[in-house]
Amino acid sequence: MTDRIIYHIDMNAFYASVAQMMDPSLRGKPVAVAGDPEKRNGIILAKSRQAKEVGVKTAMAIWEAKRQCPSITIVPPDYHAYKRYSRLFREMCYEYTDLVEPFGLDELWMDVTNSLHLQHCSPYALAVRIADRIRCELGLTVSIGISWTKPFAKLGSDIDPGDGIIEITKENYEQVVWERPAGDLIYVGPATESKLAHSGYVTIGDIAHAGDYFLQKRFGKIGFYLRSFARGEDETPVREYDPVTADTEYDIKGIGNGLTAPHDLTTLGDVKALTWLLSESVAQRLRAARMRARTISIGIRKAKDLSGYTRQTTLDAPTCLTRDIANAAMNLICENQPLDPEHAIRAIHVRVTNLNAMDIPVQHDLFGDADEVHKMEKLDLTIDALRQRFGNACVRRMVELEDPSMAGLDIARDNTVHPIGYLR
Amino acid sequence: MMYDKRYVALNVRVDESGDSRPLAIHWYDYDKASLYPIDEILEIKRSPAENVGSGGIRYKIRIRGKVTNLYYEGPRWFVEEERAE
Repeated sequence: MTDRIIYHIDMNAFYASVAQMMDPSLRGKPVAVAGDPEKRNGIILAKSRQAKEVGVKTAMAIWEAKRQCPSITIVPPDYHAYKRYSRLFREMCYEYTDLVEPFGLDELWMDVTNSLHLQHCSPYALAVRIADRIRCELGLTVSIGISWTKPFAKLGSDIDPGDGIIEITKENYEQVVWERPAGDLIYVGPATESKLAHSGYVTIGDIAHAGDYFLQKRFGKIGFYLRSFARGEDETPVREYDPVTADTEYDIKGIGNGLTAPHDLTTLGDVKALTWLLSESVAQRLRAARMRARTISIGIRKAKDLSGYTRQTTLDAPTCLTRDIANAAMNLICENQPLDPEHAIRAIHVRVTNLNAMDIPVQHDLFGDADEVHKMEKLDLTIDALRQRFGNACVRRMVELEDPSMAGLDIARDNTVHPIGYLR
Repeated sequence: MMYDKRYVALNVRVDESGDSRPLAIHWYDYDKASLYPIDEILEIKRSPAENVGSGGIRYKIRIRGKVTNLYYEGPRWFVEEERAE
């Protein structure tokens, strides 16, 4: 079998580049896209190349970035534009092959093994052509990695983030890939990297030469994945696009929503308001997917030191009721910390997993009130139907109104499903 | 030279296959309305609008001997208008 030809195309500084493209006066200047400081999610989401050069980093607070670079222009994010340009970018790639797999808004893999002959050129020349087209037609720049596996292609596009095109072949991968630090490999994050470093595995080449015993013991299954990535043995295919599901339908494993509160939460009322708001959105999405869930988990970020924790609980019977999810989440929070200014909460995340289809019958508790649950389910579904017709704000919970700063939030509407991971 | 993004009203002909061809631009200056027929379309290509930002499908057109760009952006069309200094 001949080797596959896989491209990984990565839009450079996507959010900031789109901002610069939309407003010519920002071009060539340090620009950062940041959240709204009023709503307290004011961290740097993306920065332009000029801002990067002077040391502005993603996830910095706005004031830190301003100290680092006083001339920086901060612009709010425009997800509408990002989605539009992301779609145009994908559509362009579909002109070359049907095997295009998006990985986030600004990255994708494409497999041109069987369609390259139609272009009458080498893989490198086609990459140059695609990069040129994206620059001329969309006004954005990309870096492209070409290789025979997806991890190597991704690595290739990461090596030169300044519009580079890097080809990693079976002849050069030992020099190009193996000498790079382990953290450059997909799925090696800071935690895995430090674990590897403790055992003396510093480069990708070291991972490629790791023994079975070590990998099994330190990392379990994922260790073997990493080694196959590092050796270029990964055979994960580039998934074909299905226009019917439009990249959005897959087995849902969990549904979650989280939010940084407009102000620190110090009282039971505050926490309750946000928890119910999030649970409502989660439950609504759960019911829309015709699912019930058994495991409820919460994530908490504390205001004091921004540290966080997660807790979860499994219910006796699967549920799709807002009430059950919210109560379970509230219990988890109250069991794990006192609610006072000393333990103020900055952000809450509510998530449900362990999903079952709604059509599967539920074994009711002998002493529970099955009729009541059935009634509540009908009520929730009726409210969902109303919301679908008249908007999410047409029916509201009393607890949400207690905190006026949260009254305007519409979590279900603003929810965006982010890309799914590599290992599905 | 500074430019403004100006959305314009157009006469467009849509053919059987759904392709559209701009025919004339309506231009309103205060109380004066004029119609500028497009003499020729020189090029059709997706492109960013260099002077005003954003972009779309760019129609390079000739109107009264002058070559200019007309952009199709979603349902709307715009031109890059030179700002009077």
